[in-house]
Amino acid sequence: MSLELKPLGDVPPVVELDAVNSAEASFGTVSANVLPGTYSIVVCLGATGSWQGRVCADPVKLTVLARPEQLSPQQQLALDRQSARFGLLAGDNQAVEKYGRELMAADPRSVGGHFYVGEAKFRQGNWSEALEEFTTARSEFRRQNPNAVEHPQFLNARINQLLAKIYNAP
Amino acid sequence: MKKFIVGILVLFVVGGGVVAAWLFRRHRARSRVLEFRAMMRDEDAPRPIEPSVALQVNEDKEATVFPGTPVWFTVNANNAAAINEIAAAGALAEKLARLTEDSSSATEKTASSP
Repeated sequence: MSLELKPLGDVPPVVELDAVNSAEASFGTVSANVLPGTYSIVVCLGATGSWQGRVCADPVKLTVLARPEQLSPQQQLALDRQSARFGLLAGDNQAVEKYGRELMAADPRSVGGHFYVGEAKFRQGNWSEALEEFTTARSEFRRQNPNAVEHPQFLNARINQLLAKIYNAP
Repeated sequence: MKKFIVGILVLFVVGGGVVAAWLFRRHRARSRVLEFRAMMRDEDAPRPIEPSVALQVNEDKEATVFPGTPVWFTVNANNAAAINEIAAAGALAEKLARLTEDSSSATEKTASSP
């Protein structure tokens, strides 16, 4: 298998690991040209800096299925979610909005759909539309998860950010 | 008849010896295993400090995709072992400080009591 992976987002060329700092980076491709099959993928860290060793992560499993003529609604929904998430990581606002709207078209109460459209608007600097989408996403999240123990922290943070921006605007 | 009884006695003695030898050997083998396990639990032994690496595909341990669709890998590297060592050392230092405070306040109370 050969995949041309590009760094997603801002990946610094060098990171320093110590007892406090950790590092995380994502690499991907918008269109994986891989033959159908099941692949096991592993990543290893070799000798680097003052450390002379080799350590590997647990392998992950990637299953590539032959694409059917027509995707089922569930398959299409899963693909739209993947594409929106990838767009978010890659900083592609157009893709984030496009696939967010696809999710909303399939289900107008989609938390993910409203979130992705809101995030695209937020990155475009369209505060009022972003706030509307984020508040809808939060209301839907609360309605669909009435017993959720965890709060939608990211949505809360975004809404607070937007309220501060709107009220402090000249 | 006498020979028969002697034969039975000899059989008992030999059989008992064999059983005793087997039990003794089993006991010794178990003692060795216990000694070995006790060494493995030595808390003072130096532990290797090495980085940890984690990998996810499409933000999970498994992913199913079609050709021509997005795939991404997230790599996380940290010094979990070093972080744990420092946290453990910090907790121990805090505990020792609290013990010292408790013992000094107890000494003061004893000294001030009539």
